[in-house]
Amino acid sequence: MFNTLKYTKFWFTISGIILLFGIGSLAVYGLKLGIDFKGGTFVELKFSQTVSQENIKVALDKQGIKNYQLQAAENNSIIIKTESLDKAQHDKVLKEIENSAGKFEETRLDSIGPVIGKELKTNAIYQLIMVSLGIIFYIGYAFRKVAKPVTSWRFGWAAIIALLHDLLFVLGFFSILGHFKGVEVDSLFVTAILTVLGFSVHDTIVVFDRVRENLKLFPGQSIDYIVNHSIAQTIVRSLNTSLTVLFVLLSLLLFGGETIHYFVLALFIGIIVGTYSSIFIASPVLVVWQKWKTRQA
Amino acid sequence: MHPKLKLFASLFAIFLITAAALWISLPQGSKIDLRKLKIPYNQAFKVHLGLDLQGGSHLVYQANFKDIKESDQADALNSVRDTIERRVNSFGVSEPLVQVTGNDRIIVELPGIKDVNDAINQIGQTPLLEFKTQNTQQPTLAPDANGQITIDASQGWDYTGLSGKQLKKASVDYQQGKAGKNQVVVRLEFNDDGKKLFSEITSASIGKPIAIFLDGQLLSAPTVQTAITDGVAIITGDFAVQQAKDLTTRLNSGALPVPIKLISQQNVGATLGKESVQKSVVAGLIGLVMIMLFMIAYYRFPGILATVALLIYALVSFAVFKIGVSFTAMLLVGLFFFLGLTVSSWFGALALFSYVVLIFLKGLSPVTLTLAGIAGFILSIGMAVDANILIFERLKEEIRAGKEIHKAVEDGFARAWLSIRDSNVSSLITTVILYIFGTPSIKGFALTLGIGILISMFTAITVTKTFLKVFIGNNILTHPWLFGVSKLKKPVQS
Repeated sequence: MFNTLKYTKFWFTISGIILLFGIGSLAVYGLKLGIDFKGGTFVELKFSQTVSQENIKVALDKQGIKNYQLQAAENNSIIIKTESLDKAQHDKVLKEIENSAGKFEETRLDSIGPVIGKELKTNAIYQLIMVSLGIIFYIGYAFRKVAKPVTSWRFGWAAIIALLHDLLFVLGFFSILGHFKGVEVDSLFVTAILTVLGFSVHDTIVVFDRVRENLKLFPGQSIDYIVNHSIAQTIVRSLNTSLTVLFVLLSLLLFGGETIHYFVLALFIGIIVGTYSSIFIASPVLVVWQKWKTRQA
Repeated sequence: MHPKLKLFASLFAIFLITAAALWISLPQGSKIDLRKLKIPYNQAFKVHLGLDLQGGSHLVYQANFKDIKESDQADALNSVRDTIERRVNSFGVSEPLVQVTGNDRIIVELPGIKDVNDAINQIGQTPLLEFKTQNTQQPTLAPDANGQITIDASQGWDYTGLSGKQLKKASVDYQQGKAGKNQVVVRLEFNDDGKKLFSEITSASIGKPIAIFLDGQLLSAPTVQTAITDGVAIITGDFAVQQAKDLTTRLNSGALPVPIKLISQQNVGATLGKESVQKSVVAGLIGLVMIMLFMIAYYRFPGILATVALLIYALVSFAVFKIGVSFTAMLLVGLFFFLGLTVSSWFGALALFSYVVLIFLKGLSPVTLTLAGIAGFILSIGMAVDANILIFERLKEEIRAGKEIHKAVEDGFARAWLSIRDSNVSSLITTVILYIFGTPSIKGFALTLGIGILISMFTAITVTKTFLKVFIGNNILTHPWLFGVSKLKKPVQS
């Protein structure tokens, strides 16, 4: 049997280093917010032939638009991101572009006013808090009959620590992506994060469930032994489940199209981290905490 | 009930559900028409695609209540909604949606709209109420370039300068009619300006009609009996109460032009939507095949059963998306199903029965599939397998521990149940919260994921268990190798 807990310090160090980078990036660069959250206009124009971005820049400059971004997409399409434009501005700009760059079809337009952006942001934060609370309470409740000496809340907190680990990891990863590749964070990203939290807890619960069962089966045994045993019993299941989900996500990542690309990427990364943390973070935390408590007593 | 009989009943139920789901999922077969059986039920089920998949426009307007008393704001907003709805209905898009949200917002969804800019221009106008007097001009009836004759309702009427700007309030009223009966009338109240103007107009056209136009459409043309100087006009006519109410709403919407502002707009071209559908379907199918191959390679015989269960899962989910769900449905079916798994399998039958009843009560609304929704569904395929993996891993353990296969199946399922329950409940909590607080696209994701989780518990537990029992019960296919166990070990000693 592989002794996971023997290497607790090793796992904690690895996670610590990676998280340090993530938190550092979050602190320095922050997250690059999409127009969902800060308000703005996103226009995708499909031209009948290839156009140079210069021609579009000329048109935008002429209309006095500042802080815009251009990005080429598939099929001669160009994506333009600007501050929030109202309808009159938007119409003028498009006319100008038609003059300087030729005919196009506007395949997509997202225009979010700053007010809505703010609301969506607040909402996203609420969702995060609610989901976390919901999960703590559920675990606390589900594990209420757990055999002493481990109290049910400790399971909840250990799961939350693993959750925070996953959350910071994915946020850090996207902060780095945002800084170096211009990847933005939108409400779909929040959905991905919340799904990852759900999935990560899902995984953690399966391991804890075994711990609960084994605490009853082997009452005299040390917590080390029980947790280690439980991990060994559930590790194949954890890996297989994650693998099957990763299969689908990989397929979506490769064939699912541009619109949901980063949404799927966030899920992909998150599920890998979530599986890792349920085995190598959540359970060791439970053990370390338990030992610390016993030493105190 | 005898165990064998019970097994047979479950198998039959699974077969029935699968057949029904297959039939509903087929593009041509999804119609239930029971009128031949003298039951007044006739409904076609079709896939509802969201704006991002079929192309269209999502607009959010904000009303400016600066000049409006707080007590009148809700009414004013509803009037604006009615007006927008009337305008939108003339665009000729199928299933438009105009909805009040929050205290001052109106959402307009226009699926498949071609010229969004034109639509926005028309929606954005403040409602126009006009009073016109008759003139002697005959309507022109000359055919236009296409050989069609259009009759312009506004021909034959002169503009008077009296409009919704001068209308203070319209209300439903009752009046003593000719036969002594109470008659429903619409009462108009003008402001001071309007009072003066109206008195001039009415004294000039006694015995002649005055036409009331709303957005260029003739509403009614009452005949003036006497000059009216108190600024109150009564529109008589054979109104039903509802008609009169509708008219006042419309008049008030002309009289209360709450300025609205477009604060958010999302357009998706129809081609982009179509591409997204194709891509997600391809991605979903590839993902499904990969999972199936993996399950068969790793778990062998149970893996094959799991892939069959997975196919049933995909079919049933798709059928449910087409038929629809509701809060009551999710709650009832979910509750009975849980009881079915924990207390008695009769509750499982009750879950199915309650859903069928809800179909016939028409209490369900179809699930609108968005891009995020499809992603949620595809993700739920992955989660659906999880329950099977949990069960099969337990099953292997039990077989390795030297248990005989029948007993191993029973124990494996029983022991895996707790993990399945806890992990799925926590996922359901997440989806419920996402659904409550999410934006429309997030709601779509949460809904399909939530439905997926519920259905997956049925297919992964009930369906797989029944299949396994049928095969082992007849003592075919019971060799441990088939279950991915190469050799029997001694129980793990501590």
